[in-house]
Amino acid sequence: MRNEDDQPEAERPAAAAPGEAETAQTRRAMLRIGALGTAAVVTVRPGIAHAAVSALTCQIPVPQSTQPNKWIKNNGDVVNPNTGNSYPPPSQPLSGEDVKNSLKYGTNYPGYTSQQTNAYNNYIKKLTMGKQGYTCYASLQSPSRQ
Amino acid sequence: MHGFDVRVGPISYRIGSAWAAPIAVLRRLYAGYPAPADGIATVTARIGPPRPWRRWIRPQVAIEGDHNLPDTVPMAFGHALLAIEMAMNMQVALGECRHLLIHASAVERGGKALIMPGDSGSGKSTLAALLAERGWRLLADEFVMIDLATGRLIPFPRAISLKNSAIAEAEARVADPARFGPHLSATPKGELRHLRPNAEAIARMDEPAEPALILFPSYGFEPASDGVSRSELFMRLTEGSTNYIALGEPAFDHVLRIVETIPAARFAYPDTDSGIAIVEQFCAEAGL
Amino acid sequence: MTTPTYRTDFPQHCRTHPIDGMTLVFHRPSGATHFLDSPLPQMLALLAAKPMDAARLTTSLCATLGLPEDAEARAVVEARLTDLAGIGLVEVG
Repeated sequence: MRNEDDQPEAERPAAAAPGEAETAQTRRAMLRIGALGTAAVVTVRPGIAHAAVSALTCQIPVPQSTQPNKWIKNNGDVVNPNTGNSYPPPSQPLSGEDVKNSLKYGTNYPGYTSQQTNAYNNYIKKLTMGKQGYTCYASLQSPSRQ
Repeated sequence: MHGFDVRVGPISYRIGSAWAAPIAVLRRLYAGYPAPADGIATVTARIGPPRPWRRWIRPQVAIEGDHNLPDTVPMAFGHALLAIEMAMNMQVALGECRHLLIHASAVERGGKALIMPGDSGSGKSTLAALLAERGWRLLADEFVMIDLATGRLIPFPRAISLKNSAIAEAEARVADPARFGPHLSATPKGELRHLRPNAEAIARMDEPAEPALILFPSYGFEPASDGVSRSELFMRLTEGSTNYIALGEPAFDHVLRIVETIPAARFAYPDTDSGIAIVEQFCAEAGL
Repeated sequence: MTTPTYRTDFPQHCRTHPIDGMTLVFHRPSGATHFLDSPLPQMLALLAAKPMDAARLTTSLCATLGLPEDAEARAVVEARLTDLAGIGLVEVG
């Protein structure tokens, strides 16, 4: 009953009575709130258009989101924390604009040292198809966008 | 540079090639199409050698134009027609800003349009090509254009790109051999042959249609059909749109309107005849 | 270290539309389109009413949905807040 004001009327299944709909919704919420692995946000990303339009607005996570608590070595490898010549990863994904400027003009990422920037860039250069950030990195390299 | 200007629906092309032969093939394929209005082409698509010497030594073709993508690879010279077609597609895919583009084929009957989105190999082109030989009008083979002002479907009847087994099926059903382009074998997309839409599709290319039904075909499976939820429909239409993001909020409005007002379903079919029968049954139920 | 406070002006600057039990959002500032599944719309509604930190939001959300508040709920809320911040629908600060 308490989430009644949170949801527009039309969000409930049209066929069900309000009471039933609410129960179903709460049950679904229960299932979902416990499921960390399930995406609750799905963003519409048309393949070709996204790459073409968002080259400078896209982001590159360093490292992959499936690699929490890992550091980046100066050669770009993903390593355990405190490995020699390695650095903590950036706290936020790097923006396409910053990556482009860093790769092209050698600028440091805001708030990071030149050694860290260098390690992150080496990581980005090793990205392969299918890795998070690859499409972004690839679209930055399009000649028409440099 | 050899050139050819042609208008297909709202798009007026200026096509250029470093070689004469591909342009001659293209002229035959697009015989009967109008020239650009007032002679002004709005979209340039070119093919040329990726390196100057490639023009003569083991020639390869690369795609050029107003808009470029990073991942395009040079193709064998024998596939120059495919390269031109891809260049024509890419310029529209990346440059079009008056119409929402949806990756789909479409045919019309009685002013109402059937839209068939689908991945490569779903059979959307084959079904559209064959429906267009039996009482339907071909509106589009690859890109469905939705007018952002009216929500209507603007015809874009490019040459139909037939692949693999679809080639023989079309050859068996289209009497006029002059409507076919050359056989292109072992292309990156497999065997390929282009088919010029029939005279009616070309003559009526400026006549819009009202979107009325969306069907997602899947070729190669036992007959089955199923509804498509509104959210899945939204996702699939936008995923297949090359300019949804670029158009912004008006595109959101139009996709939402389509999703909320137009019935949609998916179906599987084992062969073209049963596919056509299933489509006709859906259309009869939806009043097309 | 202070606990971050999350705030949102959702659904300002957005077009929203209910669809199949989810909320479809067109976010004008980014031009992006998102499907938000439960419990994100509820979280946004709570944050729009009052900015708060993850702990308070967990308490409010669990109360709203009639769920027990436990460590897992807190972890999920924190992960979802990161998602929402990532797409620009909530602000951290």
